[in-house]
Amino acid sequence: MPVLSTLIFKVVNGRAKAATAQVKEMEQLASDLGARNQVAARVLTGEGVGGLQLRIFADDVVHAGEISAGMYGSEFYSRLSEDINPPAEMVNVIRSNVLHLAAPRIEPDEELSLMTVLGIQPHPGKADELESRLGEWADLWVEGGARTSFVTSSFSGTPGPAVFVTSVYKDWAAWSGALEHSRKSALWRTLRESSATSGTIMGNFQLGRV
Amino acid sequence: MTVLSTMIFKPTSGRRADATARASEIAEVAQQCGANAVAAVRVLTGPSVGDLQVRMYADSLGELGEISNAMYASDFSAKISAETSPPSEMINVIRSNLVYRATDTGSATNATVGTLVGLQVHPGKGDVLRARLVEMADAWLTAGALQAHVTSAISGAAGPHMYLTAYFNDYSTLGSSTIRIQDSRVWQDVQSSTSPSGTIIGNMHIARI
Repeated sequence: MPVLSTLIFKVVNGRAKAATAQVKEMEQLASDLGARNQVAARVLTGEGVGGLQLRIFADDVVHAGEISAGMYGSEFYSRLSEDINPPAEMVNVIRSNVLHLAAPRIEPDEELSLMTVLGIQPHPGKADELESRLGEWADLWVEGGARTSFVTSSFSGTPGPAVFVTSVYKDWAAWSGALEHSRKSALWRTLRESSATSGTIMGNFQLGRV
Repeated sequence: MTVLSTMIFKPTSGRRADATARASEIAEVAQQCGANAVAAVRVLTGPSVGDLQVRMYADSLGELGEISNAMYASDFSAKISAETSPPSEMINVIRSNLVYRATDTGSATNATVGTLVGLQVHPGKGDVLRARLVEMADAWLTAGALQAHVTSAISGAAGPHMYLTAYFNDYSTLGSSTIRIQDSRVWQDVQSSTSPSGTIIGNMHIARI
């Protein structure tokens, strides 16, 4: 099962440019080490605004482990770990399984500028229902114009179970179109009218590719 | 649909004057980058008292994206992102759809103060809450506000949130409107209702800087 590793960085004051360059360098390293895809992005909304993320896709946990070991064993890492004045601090790494992919995988050279992420903590006993509902949402985002949308479920790095739906857009107009489309859907109406929740939303933010 | 982007800043201790000047500067850059209306404000009440906000409006998400991209690409952005001792820290950005304006002719351009209530929508109650906030926006207008609007968060808030914002000429109008609105039917309904459609997460006064 495909695995997504999300590396999350907090930028040191005044070092945004250097931090961005460093994350881009790390993105290249992940690619060199055989990741299926990798995306460096800036958090544009929400409480993590201004932070940076590197999202690395692998075929499975073993493949993710090989990439991770390769990164820790690289010259880049040894240089980074000796930097007494780093431009960014890594504040978390979340590993998740990709449960559902609503459209064919994105190729690394595709021009995509925007992502949205919704993170939900499943209510006890409701994980299957939540994953299934988020799968329907992912399909709906793609139907509305997202390049792709996928559902991931964390297995390490979050306190307790967490499920995420990530949608990727060519630009802001595509995002706007997908939002409009979703508002006319039966799924949206069902969500608006349902009083039986299967999870608690813990994050809803936008990312811009750097 | 009109979109509101609210940037929220926490001033660094001892740097309040610089932080205020910075928020005004950001508002100016947003205007230059094409925002329809921009306001830099200070939070006057509530747990976030002292924080600063830059509130900017655009005609659509597509237009907001262009403004956002232009702001990130500006010399100003390059300058502040290289600053090792910034006067404030951006702690959130919330993007919302403007779902209702109480008047198409009223303008908040001359407003000096405002009141803002944020609510987390109860499951299945989105439409009920929206209808009630629309009634409240109308009631604020009748009570003396220059403008009142309802917004619904798209991104940046954890879970569905709606906000009711009313703008006033001055404190005197804010004071008289706060008394007058209590005579409205919608206010009395809210006071006596035991079936809430949302949980209030914030209720604050803001003032233009």
